[in-house]
Amino acid sequence: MAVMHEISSLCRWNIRGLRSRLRNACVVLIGFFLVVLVFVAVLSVRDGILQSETRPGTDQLAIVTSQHGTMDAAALDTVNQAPGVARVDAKPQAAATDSGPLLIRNWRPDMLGLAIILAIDPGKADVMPNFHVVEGRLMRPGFNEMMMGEGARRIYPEYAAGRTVQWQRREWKVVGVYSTGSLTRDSQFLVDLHQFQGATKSGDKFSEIYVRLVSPAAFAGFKKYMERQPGLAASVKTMAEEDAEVGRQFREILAMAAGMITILMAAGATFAALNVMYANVARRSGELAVLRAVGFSRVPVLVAMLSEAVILALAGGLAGVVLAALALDGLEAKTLMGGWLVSFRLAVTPSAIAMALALTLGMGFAGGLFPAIRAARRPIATALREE
Amino acid sequence: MTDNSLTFTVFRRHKMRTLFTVLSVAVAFAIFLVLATLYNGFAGLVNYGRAQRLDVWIDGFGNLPVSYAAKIASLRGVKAVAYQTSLFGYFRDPKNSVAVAGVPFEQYLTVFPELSVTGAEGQAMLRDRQCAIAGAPLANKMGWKTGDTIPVSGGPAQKNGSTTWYFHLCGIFKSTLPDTLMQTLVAHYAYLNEGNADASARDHADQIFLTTEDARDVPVVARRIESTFANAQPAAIALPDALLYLSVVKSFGDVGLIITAIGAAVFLSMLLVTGNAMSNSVRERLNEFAVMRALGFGRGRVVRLVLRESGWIVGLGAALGLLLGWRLCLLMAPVVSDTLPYFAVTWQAVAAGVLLAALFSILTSILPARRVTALEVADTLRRS
Repeated sequence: MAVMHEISSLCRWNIRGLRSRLRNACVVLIGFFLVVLVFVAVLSVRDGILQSETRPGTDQLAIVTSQHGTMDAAALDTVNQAPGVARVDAKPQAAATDSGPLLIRNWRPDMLGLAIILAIDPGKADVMPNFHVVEGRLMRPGFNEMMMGEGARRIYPEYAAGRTVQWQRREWKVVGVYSTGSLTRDSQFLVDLHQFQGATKSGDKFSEIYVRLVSPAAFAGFKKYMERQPGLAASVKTMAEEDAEVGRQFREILAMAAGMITILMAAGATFAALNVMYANVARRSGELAVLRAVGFSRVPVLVAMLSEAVILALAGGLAGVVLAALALDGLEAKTLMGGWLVSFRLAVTPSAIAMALALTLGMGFAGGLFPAIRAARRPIATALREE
Repeated sequence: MTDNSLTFTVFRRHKMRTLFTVLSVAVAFAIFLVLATLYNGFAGLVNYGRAQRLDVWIDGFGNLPVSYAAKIASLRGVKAVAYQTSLFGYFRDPKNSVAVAGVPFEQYLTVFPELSVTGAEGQAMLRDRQCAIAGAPLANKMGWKTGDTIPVSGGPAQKNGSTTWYFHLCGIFKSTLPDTLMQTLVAHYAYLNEGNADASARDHADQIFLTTEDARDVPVVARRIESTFANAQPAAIALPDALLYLSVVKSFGDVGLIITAIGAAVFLSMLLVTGNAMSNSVRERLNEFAVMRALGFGRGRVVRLVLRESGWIVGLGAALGLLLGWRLCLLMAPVVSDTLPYFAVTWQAVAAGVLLAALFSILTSILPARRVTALEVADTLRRS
């Protein structure tokens, strides 16, 4: 108990004295602050992409493609009879879709936009997970009308509802904004499949079938059934898989950059802390020796010196986390990812905060421990004589 | 006793401090190089675009009739036209996928001056219609040598029914392009076109490329091409190459911003650390500087001593850091280069690092140097 008492009084004395070492303390604090800020910032990009990829429902939406390239009504019939397909009022939740590039010219000075047009029967658009109209209305079948995803609206704010888009020598009127459960689908434009087939002269062919399944567990059975169908040469995957594939490489690069930059910066900040703490111990060897001479034992001296570094680290780290959470969380960002221009929101997640704080603690200990040991080990007589 | 040995005496006295300061500077420069290289990976695609080049695509889906190329060649302002048809197959094992581009060879080299072959290779190419030239990375990956016959399976059926196409490797491209963009086998358009059993697939091109006489004419020529085919079926889109790749780079937008912000944060913190260490070190030695001044060292010489100290620390740290950063970039390259073909350490980035180091060492020694020049010799000596 006596030791605890000694520790707490020494720590308080030490903290009170911080004011006299303000500049050095600030340098250490700012160093830790920046490391944590950068760490959380990079993770918020990664987690933002991850969160928009793993939105609910995408794991029970199957996407059927054919190795022949295109499919027709016969393929849709096969899908409708497959096991595991969700039904609403006895109607199977499957929709034929096609897609093509939309080149947006004169978008910005010196900049072309390349977006994707997704074609689907307007009445079947809600096969996509969480599909809902955010603004305006659905496109009408048989009209050259277009909807844009929420992400696409963020990327191309010039094309709000009411404007027209030139595509395939036709004028398409933007009539509404939709939102779905998917990072990539939300960055697209939506048109009626029949209008699409007319404009692209693809007849009654299409390239993909979206199928809502009764549950994620039904996927394996559905996939097996579809891939065994003769003549179809189908391959089946979930929308979740497809989205993850789009962002995977980008996330890997980010994770690698985050890891490397953090390790380097953490090392830099720890070196800075070591520098300052060693200088502290050297400058204060006199007072520390006096403390030891009046009866304080080694452990309290060690804890007091160590706690200074840890407290500075935690203060800097907390400031970094708070600033990152306030400034970055929910911020919109857009980037090119796997050939897609996608829009997402940065996310500061609890796990990133926990990791940042753990990192801070680690840096504080690493920067404070060795100087503290030196302070505690210093022979009293030598230190006092030098003073 | 030289000034250098004076500096090293100081370093020896505070081995730990010197070591940690050098290491934190090294960290800053390692991060600088990694970030600069990442940035180059994003922004470098701009280099792929050529100011004089235009890409012509179909407006919509499918392929362009190859006859469009001749029409384009006859337009005013057009210097050279090339086109491409593609064949996707594999070499021996479906895992070794190979993309073959069938092109009119001479025109192709004119439109893409980034690629070149030796005179002998060019001659061979002209003599043999089965000839093909590979990029060095592709040839190395597949183990091809000039003179090899290369079977590419899985392509469209030929007139003899076989889907395996044979190419004679007549040479290896010399190129300034990054490895990831040199993965194509370039063959004769005539061989791919005439060999194809499906008559309806013949005489088409995926893309037409051209260069203009003058880079300033690019927008005019683009309009000229589009109006030529405005009422034709299919219509064509002509896109300036430079604009295309600039758009890609700009589309990375926010990522570039984040990288710049991180770089700035790192530099700020390292400037603080080094500046602080320097000023601590000078403050502790004020009486030594006073002694030097008393012994007859001029102000200038003492300032030069301070500068020299920070010069050594920053110089050593920067050299170490750039070396470390270079090693780290080599480690990252395999993961990153598929997405960012231009991810490579450039000499410009290293030069910028060296320049920054010089600036850095001057900035960190300004405050300590002022302190030393403002020093009252007698006062300081009396106090110590």
